[in-house]
Amino acid sequence: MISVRNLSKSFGANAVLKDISFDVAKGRTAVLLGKSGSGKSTMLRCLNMLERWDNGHIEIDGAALGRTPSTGGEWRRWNAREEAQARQRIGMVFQQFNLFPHMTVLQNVMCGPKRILGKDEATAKKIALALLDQVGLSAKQNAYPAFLSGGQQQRVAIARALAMEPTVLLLDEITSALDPELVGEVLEVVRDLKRRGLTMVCVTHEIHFAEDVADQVIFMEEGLIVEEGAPESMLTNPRTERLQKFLTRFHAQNRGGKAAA
Amino acid sequence: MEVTLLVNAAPLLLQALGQTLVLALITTLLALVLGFLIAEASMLGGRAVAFILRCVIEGIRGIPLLVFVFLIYYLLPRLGIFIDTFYAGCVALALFFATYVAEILRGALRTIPKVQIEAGKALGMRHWKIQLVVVMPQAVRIALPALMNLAAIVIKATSVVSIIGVWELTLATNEAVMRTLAPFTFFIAALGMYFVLCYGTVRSAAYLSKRMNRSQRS
Repeated sequence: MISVRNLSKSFGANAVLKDISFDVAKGRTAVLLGKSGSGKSTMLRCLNMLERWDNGHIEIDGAALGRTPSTGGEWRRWNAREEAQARQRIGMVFQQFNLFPHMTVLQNVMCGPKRILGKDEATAKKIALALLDQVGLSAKQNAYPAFLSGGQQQRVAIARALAMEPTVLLLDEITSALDPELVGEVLEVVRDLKRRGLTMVCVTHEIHFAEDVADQVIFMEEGLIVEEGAPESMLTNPRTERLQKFLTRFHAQNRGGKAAA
Repeated sequence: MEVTLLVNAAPLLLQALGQTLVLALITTLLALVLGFLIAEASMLGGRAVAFILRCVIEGIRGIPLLVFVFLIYYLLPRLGIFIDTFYAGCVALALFFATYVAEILRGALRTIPKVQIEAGKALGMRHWKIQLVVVMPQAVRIALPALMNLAAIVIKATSVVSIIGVWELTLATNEAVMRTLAPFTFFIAALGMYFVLCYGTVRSAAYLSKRMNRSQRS
């Protein structure tokens, strides 16, 4: 369970997150929807401390993230070791995959269990092979990332994150860098994870992604949560004008794109 | 060329060749480690540290190796460090070439995208593990041709420390020449041996490069 309370953050004079609060229940998939610059990616990056926030509070599985209560009601900010330790249970998948180019697919997935959790070669390999099987890439285990398609690389990146057995998985625009015909295979993997009951927070500007996997949609604009709810009602019957506009523009662009194709 | 002279001196020359190799190896390894630390320090240590290291690097790179070797040779005892001439030679060479390694590595490290470091962080690695597992292997692949080139230069540069009396190929050759008065015989033999070492280094660099580039699409 993730709980975000009154989170705010500025880059200089530019406030990117303004008093954000939301919850994601265990085993649910939340989608942060919005156009670029809405603050959704910054929000996601706060969830594994790649970004520091100014004010507010994040809890994951009941424990505060990034700081520990110390004597006298004060909070002590985590050191690098504590941050690294917490990140081990918070998986993240990036838009540009960010696989390690000098390692094979198998080595990429083994990297976490072997180099971080200190498991022996055989155990790490077993974990990695099982995950590669789960994302349908057993056949590519000895290939280097540069020789895979975008969709395949992204599935490896998901497997690499899963190898750390995260309690939460953060997905940052994971289909945005993919050719349209490769989006399906990645979504398939995400749907499978959802069925397995993994808690996920996804950032996207693509409405079908939200429709496809979300239990809960959080629509953001200019650092604020504009609307929040179940995808079925929200995406067909938006309550706010801003979401309505966003949906209209998205559908118009999409029709235009399809006509052009 | 007087073959018998060469044959007689062969065991000694081969031993000297071995010394040159050991000297080059120790120097290269030390320079790699030192250069890595300098590169890391100048990237992590903030502006002041970066500036100081910049001055040291430019300073050392701007002076002749021969003068630097003399400097270290006389400086070490002054600092209360009394070590064998051989190691004094190693230290001088390693310090000198560490600055070159640092420059090569700094350039290579800068080509590694920041998102690679983020990917390591997101998995839960800490700084040094990211450097070791994610960044360095990629930087080394990029820096390899330049580093191997430098290794060949180091092999040749070891001849300079003969001046402070480190017994290696050049000094041994010179001794042989003085005993036999046959300079061409021995210096040509020495040249041949240096050439084999350097050419071997350059060739193995090409081989290593090819191996490490398997991860790349050509």
